[in-house]
Amino acid sequence: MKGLLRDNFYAAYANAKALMGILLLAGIAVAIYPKEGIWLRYYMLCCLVGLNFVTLQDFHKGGFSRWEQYKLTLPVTRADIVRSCYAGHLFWMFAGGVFASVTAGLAVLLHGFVFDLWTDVLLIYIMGMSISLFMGAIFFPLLYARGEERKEASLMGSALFAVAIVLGLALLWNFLFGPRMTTAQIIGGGVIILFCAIAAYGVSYLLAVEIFHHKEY
Amino acid sequence: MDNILELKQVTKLFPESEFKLDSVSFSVPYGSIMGIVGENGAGKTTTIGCILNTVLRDRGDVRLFGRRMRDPDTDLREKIGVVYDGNNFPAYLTADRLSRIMQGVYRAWDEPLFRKYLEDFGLPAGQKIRHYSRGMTMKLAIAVALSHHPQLLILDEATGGLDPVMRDEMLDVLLEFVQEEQHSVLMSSHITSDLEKIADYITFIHNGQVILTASKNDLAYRYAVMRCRESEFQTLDPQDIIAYRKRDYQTDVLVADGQRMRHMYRDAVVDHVSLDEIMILLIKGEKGGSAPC
Repeated sequence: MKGLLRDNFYAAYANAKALMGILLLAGIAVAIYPKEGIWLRYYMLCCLVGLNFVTLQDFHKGGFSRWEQYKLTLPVTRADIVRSCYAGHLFWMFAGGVFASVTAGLAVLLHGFVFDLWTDVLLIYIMGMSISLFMGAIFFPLLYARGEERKEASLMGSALFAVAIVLGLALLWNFLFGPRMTTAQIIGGGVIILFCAIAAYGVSYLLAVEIFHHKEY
Repeated sequence: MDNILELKQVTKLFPESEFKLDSVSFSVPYGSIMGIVGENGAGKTTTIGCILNTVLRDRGDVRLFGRRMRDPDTDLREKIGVVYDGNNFPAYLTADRLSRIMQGVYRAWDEPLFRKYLEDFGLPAGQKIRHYSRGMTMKLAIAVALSHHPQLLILDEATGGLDPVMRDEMLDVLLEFVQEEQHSVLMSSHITSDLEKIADYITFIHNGQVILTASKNDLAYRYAVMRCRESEFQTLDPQDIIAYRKRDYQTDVLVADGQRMRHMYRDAVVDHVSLDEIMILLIKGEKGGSAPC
């Protein structure tokens, strides 16, 4: 399993390194000039979702090699292979979270609390993580079911659906509780969205394992 | 004799192409090299896929080291090394990184041994695989396959596309591997000369069916091809004929016991037969009365 995680890391490393370089420079810029937190909010969302989006396309990056077939001959189970993909996806989500947190922390150190409310910060994390989780939850079963040839289309579709689901759930919550929500209701809404994303991720993992058990090379 | 690998009645149908691997059975004894020969699309790769569970068989039984290998049986896969045709590993890796991956996969990964193979094969450890030549990628695949001390090596068309010198080097490595009594090799190829050099047993596959399995010694010293005129051909007992092929002025007849045929048909020309010729006669010729299938 450790070897599979390393493989996923190496596959994503080149693209992730390039994006992390950009995020680092952008992070310094928004920390110095946060403009009442607006740029910082976009930046944090970008870290949480963008890094994940870029690295997702590197799963099953065997290209023209027989690597995916070869992996089935290694002393690992098919479930291990799927699990390593989900674990790799979570790793890059948390890496994005670290970037977002460090930059937000730096901005707060330099300028004081730049957000309107502390719930704003919480919601940014919840939205970013939920979009990432939904994206992975949709992408991986599609990758195993439709194959690597349609990976790009699967990824674009997953990203759009993930954003639509999170926005849809947020709109539903607003519709139910109106414009004057209490802090508890705001946090409650965020937690429910995150819970849905985590549940979808779990179900997606089981589905992907099932699909992969029938995959032939 | 104990077998490291046994296939019984392995069947797999691909509905889209209508290709069927049909009741394939053979076994590989410990300490031997088994070659699978057949034309392109004969079913060699599908057979290997069924052994390694990369293709899910419809029927039949595969036993490795006396056991059925299911998905959770990772301990069995610890004892198997695999080399596929072409690029086994992704181009973004280096041999160094590949080694780190394998360290986290195989319990018995032997890093010093892997380094030794890299050195012996002249493979740069820090260079990306995308910059390797075809021969280098095959050598790397062999090095990986051997560096966790497997007992069974499975090679699928691994020598195809290599130049004769490189093929010879690879065959030497395989011969060295089977010096250990508990080691065996299963190797598919349509380059019959490779198998003539190293195989102990040969299985011929055609249209998804095993058409002949025999020891190489039998094929080399007992099997023979009779060059008959039409009148001589008519006198042959059909039970002596495995396959025959009519040509302009003669008929080539594959027989299982050349010595006996020399005694029985003193006027006939009985030649030694190469694997190539056996393959052509079995595939392109007509079946005789003693055809195995």
